[in-house]
Amino acid sequence: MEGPTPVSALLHAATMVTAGIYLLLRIAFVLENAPNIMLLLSFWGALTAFFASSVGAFQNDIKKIIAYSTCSQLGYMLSACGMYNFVGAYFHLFNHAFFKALLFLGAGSVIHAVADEQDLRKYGLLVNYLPLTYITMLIGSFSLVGFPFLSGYYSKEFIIN
Amino acid sequence: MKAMIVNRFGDFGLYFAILLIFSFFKTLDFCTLNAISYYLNDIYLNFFDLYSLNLQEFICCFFFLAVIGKSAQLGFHT
Repeated sequence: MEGPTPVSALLHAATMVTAGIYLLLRIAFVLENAPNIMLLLSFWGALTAFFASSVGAFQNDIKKIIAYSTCSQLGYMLSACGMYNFVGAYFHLFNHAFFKALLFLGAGSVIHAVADEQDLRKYGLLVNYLPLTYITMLIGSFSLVGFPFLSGYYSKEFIIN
Repeated sequence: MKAMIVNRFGDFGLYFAILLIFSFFKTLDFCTLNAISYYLNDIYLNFFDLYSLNLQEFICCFFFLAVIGKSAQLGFHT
């Protein structure tokens, strides 16, 4: 699902791919009486979280890395839904929308600054040229990995607990 | 192109789930479905006495297909 960077910030963070999780939360009262399907959802989400993050670690395109990270986080939410933690899944969906939109817009700023070059291997020393983008993307990344006192920390802690 | 075709499979799941719910309960209202859903587990579909299928798990399978199609999970990613 490629697009211009602001469009993918909207689609991947809040609107399109999270619609599946939103559907899952709305029909939770139907699903929670079918334990077999919940077990399947949980396993499938965990498998996707592992697989998508492994694939994303070997990409060279800056936007593809963030997109695969979104896929992995959605698997995380699906796994939380499968373990009847609907509130945690919704909390993580909400926080994920914010920091993933920040990361996508930061990536758009970087791509615009280096004349539409998306290959990560050709970048270097961008902190000297784009200090503000560097700081915002650092905050977004720390929130994504669950650094304490940033939003990702609270939602991931709630899911894992 | 591939993403569009893969997404149609997910839409198929949602479509069939809505169709099944409407054909059995004649409603799509969330409040009514919430009241009904507790008894959903007792309904079985019989296919010519060959095997019976739990209606709830049948519907939830289609919802599962819709979710993994829409959220680009494993098997439906591009």
